[in-house]
Amino acid sequence: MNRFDDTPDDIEQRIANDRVPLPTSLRPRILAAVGEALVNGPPPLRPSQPWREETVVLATSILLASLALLVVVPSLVAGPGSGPILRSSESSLEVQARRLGIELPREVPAPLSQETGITAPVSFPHPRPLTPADVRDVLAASF
Amino acid sequence: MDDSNTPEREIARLAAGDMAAFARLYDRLGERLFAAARRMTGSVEGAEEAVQEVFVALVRGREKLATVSDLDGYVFTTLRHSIGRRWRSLASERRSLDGLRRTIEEIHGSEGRVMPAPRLPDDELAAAVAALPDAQREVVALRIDGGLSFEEIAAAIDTNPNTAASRYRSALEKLRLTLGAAANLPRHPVRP
Repeated sequence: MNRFDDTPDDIEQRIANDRVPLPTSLRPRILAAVGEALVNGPPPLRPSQPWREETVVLATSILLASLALLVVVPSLVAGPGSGPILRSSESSLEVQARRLGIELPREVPAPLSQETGITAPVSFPHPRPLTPADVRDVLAASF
Repeated sequence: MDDSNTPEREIARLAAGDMAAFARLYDRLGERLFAAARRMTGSVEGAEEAVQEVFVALVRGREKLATVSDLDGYVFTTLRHSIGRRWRSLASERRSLDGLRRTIEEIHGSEGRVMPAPRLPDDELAAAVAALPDAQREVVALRIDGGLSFEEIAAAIDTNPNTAASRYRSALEKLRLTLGAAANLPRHPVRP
């Protein structure tokens, strides 16, 4: 028979005849699942409210980011050594001194210029051109 | 008048979480749901999972049942949504398996088949139905296997009855041509 002769009704009938029997194991399986769902109630996150989980995650992320900004930004703005993280740290020299039992002076030493009286040139070019005697003195001091 | 067996009372029992009412619903619609689900997914296992998912979804959303007027239509709509979520992955899996089976048969011939062919009553028809566009396949499944009217199908797939009927006729015509062409193709000789 040429199948092109089939009518839509023939196709409909063929589909209707193409049946797989309902598995007998399906009924107890489904009723068990129904019973479990009845006992457990609705799931904590309903499909109709998918925003809840996303909102919690987003809010937590914003909170953590805000906390991080509150801690890091002031220390960066105020410069090194002034932020809470840097202020609480101890320099390696201080650590070594503590291990060796040496007490470091608490006061900041005065600038070298105050002890020697030497001051930096206040203007360029050099106030006096170098002479051969200057070069000689420098060489003599080096060797 | 005793109205304890009216559809409204039955819906109220389902909405209240009456286990016996869910059992009756399965006994009444289980076979049609399973048949429609098998047609849509193309697999017995997929159909079983889909039907189970429908009942669990009905239980979990049972408070909504109180507002339902057409219970059967609502249940089949739930089936469609349940299958729609996994349709792509199932279809993709099935295509991969079919492709693998064909490759193996080409290399080894029918005797060298190393994996079982799908145990379906009408493989040729199953393949033709699987080749239909999703929108046409679900209308065929809901109409023939689910036994729904075009009005009910339209409500389930969110369209109008004329569109549903048109898709159904197109699907039957496509199946008629596909199956006719397949029947008139020369068969590959079977190896002795």
